[in-house]
Amino acid sequence: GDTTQFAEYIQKNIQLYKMRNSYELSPSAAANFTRRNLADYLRSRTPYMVNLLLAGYDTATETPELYCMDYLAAMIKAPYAAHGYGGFFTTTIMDRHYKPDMTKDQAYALMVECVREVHKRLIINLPNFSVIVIDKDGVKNMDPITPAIVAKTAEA
Amino acid sequence: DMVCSVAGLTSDANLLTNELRLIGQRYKYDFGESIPCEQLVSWLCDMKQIYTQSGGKRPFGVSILYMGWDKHYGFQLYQSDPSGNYGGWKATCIGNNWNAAVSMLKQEYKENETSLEEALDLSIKVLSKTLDMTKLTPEKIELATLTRENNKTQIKILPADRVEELIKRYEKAEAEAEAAKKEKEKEKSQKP
Repeated sequence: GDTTQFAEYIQKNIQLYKMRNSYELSPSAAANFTRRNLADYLRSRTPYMVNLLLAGYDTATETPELYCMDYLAAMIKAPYAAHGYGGFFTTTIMDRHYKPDMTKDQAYALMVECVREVHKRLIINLPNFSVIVIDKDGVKNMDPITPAIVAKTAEA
Repeated sequence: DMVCSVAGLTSDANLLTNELRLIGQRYKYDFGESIPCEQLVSWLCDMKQIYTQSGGKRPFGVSILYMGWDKHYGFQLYQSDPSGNYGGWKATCIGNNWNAAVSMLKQEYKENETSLEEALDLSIKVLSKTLDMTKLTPEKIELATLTRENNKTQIKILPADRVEELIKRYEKAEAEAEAAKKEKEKEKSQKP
């Protein structure tokens, strides 16, 4: 509930900014705005319990950016990040294999590795994961990672 | 990343400059970056407009020039007046004798061809011809420049010696122009 409410609120405000000013918020500005809202609501009667990852492409500097925020409104810009119990495992995988000059396919393979670890170690059964790419051409869905894909990549 | 210059009732101006600072800082607090120029101007002008339409209060008797830089549109110059109307400019003037000053700028300012130094020279020229004073000295005027260096906005209020240098350069150019004019007149009168 909180995630939808909060995410929609932020999304609509970002769209409103675009309508008012005819240019978009940069990813860092949007992340700061999100953090500010989360922090303000934290000490109100109605805090939002939302952990989130915010990804965007900054057209001014032509670089992609990732921001990791927890429900206490602590935020950090990072090359890779994860939330939740699964994050304990996947962060180490990414620590080991992430490179700043990875290609999109290499990154997808890294995601598959992360999902394999989650399938192996997490007691909760989460078979399928969606993958979204953000680059200069916008937001796109890649093939979802299914148990079949995890198994296939293991053989390779 | 912005500076402003006011003309009119200083008491009203102080309230507005304070408000401008608040607007700027509030934006920075929310978004973590400097406010884009037009947004700042627009916000203040929305405020000014309210005083012209409701409340039984009087408008602010101030015109303001805003100079700034943002990543969307680069260097910008805006002018606002008591009605809350604002516009973007290449060069403009407010205050005493602004008519004369603007017409001078229209003649002398070359779009995309005037460098910062030339613009400073032009400002001195316009000021000396439109201010009601006999001689221009650094104590009587204040000049500021806004530039971008190393991805940062540099705002400098020119020190007295720099202004003195510009005034001297202008006076020399004026004297030379006068002398050249006199030469031409002599030649004309000497022609049979």
